[in-house]
Amino acid sequence: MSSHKRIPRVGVGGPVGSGKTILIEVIVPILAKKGYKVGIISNDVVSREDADRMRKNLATEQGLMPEDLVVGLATGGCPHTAVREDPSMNLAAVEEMESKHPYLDLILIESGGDNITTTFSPALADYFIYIIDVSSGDKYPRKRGLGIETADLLVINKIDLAPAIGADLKIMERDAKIVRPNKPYVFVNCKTGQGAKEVADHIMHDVLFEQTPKAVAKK
Amino acid sequence: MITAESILGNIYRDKGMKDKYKKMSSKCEAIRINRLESQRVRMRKTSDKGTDIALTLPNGSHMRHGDVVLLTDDKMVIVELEPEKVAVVEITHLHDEDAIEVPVRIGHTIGNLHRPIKLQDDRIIFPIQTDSEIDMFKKMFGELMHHLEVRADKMVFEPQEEMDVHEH
Repeated sequence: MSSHKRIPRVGVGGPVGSGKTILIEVIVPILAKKGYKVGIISNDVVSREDADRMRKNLATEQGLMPEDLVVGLATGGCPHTAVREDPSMNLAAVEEMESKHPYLDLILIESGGDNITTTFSPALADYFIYIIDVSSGDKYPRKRGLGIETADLLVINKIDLAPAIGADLKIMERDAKIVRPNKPYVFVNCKTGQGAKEVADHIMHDVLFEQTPKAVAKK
Repeated sequence: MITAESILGNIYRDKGMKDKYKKMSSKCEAIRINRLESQRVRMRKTSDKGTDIALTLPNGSHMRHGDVVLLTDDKMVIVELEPEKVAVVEITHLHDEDAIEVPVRIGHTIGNLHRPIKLQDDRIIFPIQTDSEIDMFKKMFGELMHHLEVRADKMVFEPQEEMDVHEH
């Protein structure tokens, strides 16, 4: 058994191009401003492109975290299988982070995956955000699937594109309420940061329990 | 916000806790969770009486229907699992010569679809997402339907512990 203390974990899943990486890029600064220290694990099939981008943006340029707190995992197969059926690779990465950086308040785990198959193993994530975007059409929420139905928070991104592709946000909102009774959803535009605070508020309330951030790490 | 850090017992499985539950019935409140959440160790829930509860359970904990997560002189908080849609397969006719083939083929069909199951008397119960899956299973069982009845139901589903698998 590992002796280190468990750090709260949030899974961020969604189809390729829906905005998982940029969602993390807009919520980490909000959490950092409140004093919360975040580590990131990013799952990809063969590349570590998303992890490299987040490391450059959040660590190197904004200085919000040390560079080794953004870890890329090349899963070599559908990433959703590495967060659902057999999360051992991710669990090992999480446990290494918990052991090396016990002062962290939160670990974000990003993984691509479609609406039918994606969900996070309860052994891996305490909370699951599923992100979709309006460009696939306003039918998406009512198409259901594990991702849309079981997520603790549904995030609908790129709302600025709705008029251009003829997607009706009211239909998406109505269907989200039907498919996910009593569960929250947030409309966002990650490019401008619109709605990002609401997502961060859900994490702070439901996962971090609005507790005071841990003491700053000693160098 | 009240923090609950362990599972103290179960009102359906532990006699002592069952007695306490009867005595404290007016002071009892429930938090409702789904089956996925029952395997999580960290969450924030509001009870049916409005109490804000933060659960931080030991790693590997698994909550069951009726678990007590908080117990004081004036409050008892119980976990309730949300009822969910299930298929109930009941073996109605089974001759001696079918005693192996029929159950094995039923198990093979359900197992191929990666469903956790619960065995109760002569019934096999497993979760479904929509009622239309009942027709699909009837087609898949094919000739086996001479031995079976298959229907949809809604209930608290707790899989047999050794028969819990990931689902698609």
